[in-house]
Amino acid sequence: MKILDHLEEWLIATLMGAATIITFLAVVHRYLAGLSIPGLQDWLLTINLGWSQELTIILFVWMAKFGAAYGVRTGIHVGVDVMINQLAPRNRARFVIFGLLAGAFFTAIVAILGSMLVWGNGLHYEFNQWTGSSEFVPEGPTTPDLEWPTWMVFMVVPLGSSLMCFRFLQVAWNFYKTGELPRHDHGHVDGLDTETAETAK
Amino acid sequence: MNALIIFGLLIALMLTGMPISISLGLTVLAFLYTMTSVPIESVAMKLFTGIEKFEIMAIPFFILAGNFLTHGGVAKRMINFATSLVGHWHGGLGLAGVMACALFAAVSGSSPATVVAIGSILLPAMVKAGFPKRFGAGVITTSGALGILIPPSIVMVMYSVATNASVGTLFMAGVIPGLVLAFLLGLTTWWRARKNNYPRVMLFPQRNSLQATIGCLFGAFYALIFTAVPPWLLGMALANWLPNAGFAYFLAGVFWLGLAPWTTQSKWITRIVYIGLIVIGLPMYVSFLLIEPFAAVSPLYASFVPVVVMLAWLTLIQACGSYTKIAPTFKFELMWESLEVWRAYWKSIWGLLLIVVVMGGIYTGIFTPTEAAAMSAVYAFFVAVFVYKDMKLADVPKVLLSSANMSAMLLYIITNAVMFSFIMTNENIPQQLADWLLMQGFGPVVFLLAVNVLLLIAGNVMEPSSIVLIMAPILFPVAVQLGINPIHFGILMTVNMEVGMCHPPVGLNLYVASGITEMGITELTKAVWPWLLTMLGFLLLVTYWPPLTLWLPNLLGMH
Repeated sequence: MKILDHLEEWLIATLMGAATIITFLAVVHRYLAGLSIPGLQDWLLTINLGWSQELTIILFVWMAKFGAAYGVRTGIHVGVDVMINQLAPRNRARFVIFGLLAGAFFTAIVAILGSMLVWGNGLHYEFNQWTGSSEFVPEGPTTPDLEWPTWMVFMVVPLGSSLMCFRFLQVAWNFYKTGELPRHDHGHVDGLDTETAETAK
Repeated sequence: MNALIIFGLLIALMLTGMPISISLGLTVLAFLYTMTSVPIESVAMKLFTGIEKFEIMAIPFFILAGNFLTHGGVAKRMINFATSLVGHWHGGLGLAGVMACALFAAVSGSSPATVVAIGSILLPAMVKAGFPKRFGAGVITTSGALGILIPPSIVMVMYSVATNASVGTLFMAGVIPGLVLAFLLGLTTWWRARKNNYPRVMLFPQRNSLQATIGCLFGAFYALIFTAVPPWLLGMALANWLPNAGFAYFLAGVFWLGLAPWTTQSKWITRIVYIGLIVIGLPMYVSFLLIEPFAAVSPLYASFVPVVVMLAWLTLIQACGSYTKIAPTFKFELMWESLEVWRAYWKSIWGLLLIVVVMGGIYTGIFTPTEAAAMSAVYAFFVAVFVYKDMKLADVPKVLLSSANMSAMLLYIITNAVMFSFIMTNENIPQQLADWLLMQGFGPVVFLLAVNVLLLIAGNVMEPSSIVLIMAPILFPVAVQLGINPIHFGILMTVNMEVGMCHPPVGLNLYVASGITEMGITELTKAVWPWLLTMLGFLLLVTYWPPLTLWLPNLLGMH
């Protein structure tokens, strides 16, 4: 379980960083390639970074799906809790459990739909290739710039949603056992408390 | 009828307290499954393609940049700069808070982030300086809301996602309303502080307020001159033997910005540089200019020119600078306030420069807004880790993770909201609403009032991004049909969201501020009301006076 948690955190942080660096490099490259510096320009013009935008989008969508699952664990997905907070704790708990299970239900459906999408977009073809089946299935499309098979890219929908579903169930179970929900604290900043004395004049 | 079912279901699901994204998604699923022939498989596809737009990616980048700035000591330096500029007026640190929020808002796209960045440093300092807790909390909670009005702004990106309005134009349109609101909030702060006689930050207690003001303005003026002119001259010189003029200016700028802040490292270097540049450098430069017309005059008489200029200059700054009238001897006690402004300015220059990078980059077309966001993230990382060194390299993964967490939540809402607006348009609901409104003979005035009320009510229960994503696709077509400018409408929604963030029960700024100040929400609500009233007045102004928002984008030729 711990390994899964760490893998998840590591994955989304890396995706975030990678997307930033790629976009940064693409902009710098575009700018520098416009300068007529002998040698450098020729070399830069041989590099085609046209795919950077697409890759950034893919990285961010992946980050968003897995990050959403991580967000369930950290309690960042907020809802309208004004009304249920007025209720007696027992009834409130029922609503909370209902909300969490609804989340699990939705993500489970999406995971199933997503698997169907991936299957229909080329995984079936790959599978038949692999098993040597002669059944006719159309080959899946590829992405426009990178020319990666779309089923690989879409894979994030079932994977991310399943993970999210699992997280919802996990949080619901913990809430049922301990009555505690993960809460995201927007006001928390590390390391700022120590510096306040310095700025006070 | 369908509209009623959709909204009834959505509201019912939301009220159970489940995440907004989930209630949107479930509504869409239920509706598609029971009422339409749209294949339900398309949902999975939409979940991917819904955010497959490069414009949306500005959101995670801006969040990342904001986190680097918050943790990287940029906010702290901006506060010091603002304090050196406006601290001597009534409500000193409070005014500095408003100004620091406005400055930070110009590099960050989110309101709660601005409250955290400025509030967590300034609020304890204000309490220590003798301000009542309520005053400080009120100022920061409301001024922090500037974060989404002064560009860059995540809410504006959301609006453009929902309506296809241009992000760049929205950003430009937000500049002037943002400055006006900052001014109004500052005015409220000043007025409250004057009435209650709150402490001021007088660096030199012997001097009166006018002298201090002149000193500060003077310092700001010089700081700006010496930011722009030396790299400009150097760039011109370099441009002669470099292949590209832009590159030459870039190099010159980097060189100068590397050099100039270094002069503030030691008190004595600062003084020598300051005196050399301002006390001696400027009259010399003026003399050079004046000597040309005197070329015909004999050199003996012409040499009087620099002497006279120098004497006049020294008398002038001595008059403004010293707390005696005109000092009999020329002591070097010249305008210490401006020296303080000068020092604070150069210390915060790296943060201030980001404003130029983002806005200038978008305006001149060097970057798209998304690229500008990515650049500012990399820049903020660089400044936080290598220039200010307030953040260690080992802290970077933590910042990445928390930014990813926040942006994933927003992106998840976006995907579901995009599906939701897809079924709305599929059912022609905005169109029906527009027709109905036109049939009732409602003009833009009534419509805008209704929109304001609706959004303020929505602001009571939901957070801004979701409101914009759900409401904008419905209200936008109506607004367009009534002849309301899309950009104006976007700014109007943004200001509404700002107000919504500052009042209970869901005002995110309130929660953040209550986390910092350890005050209860009820107490905090009472604390913010003077500023909240100002904001409501400002909202009316923005709503019914479109030139306020549209003047700048029109001037810049953006539509």
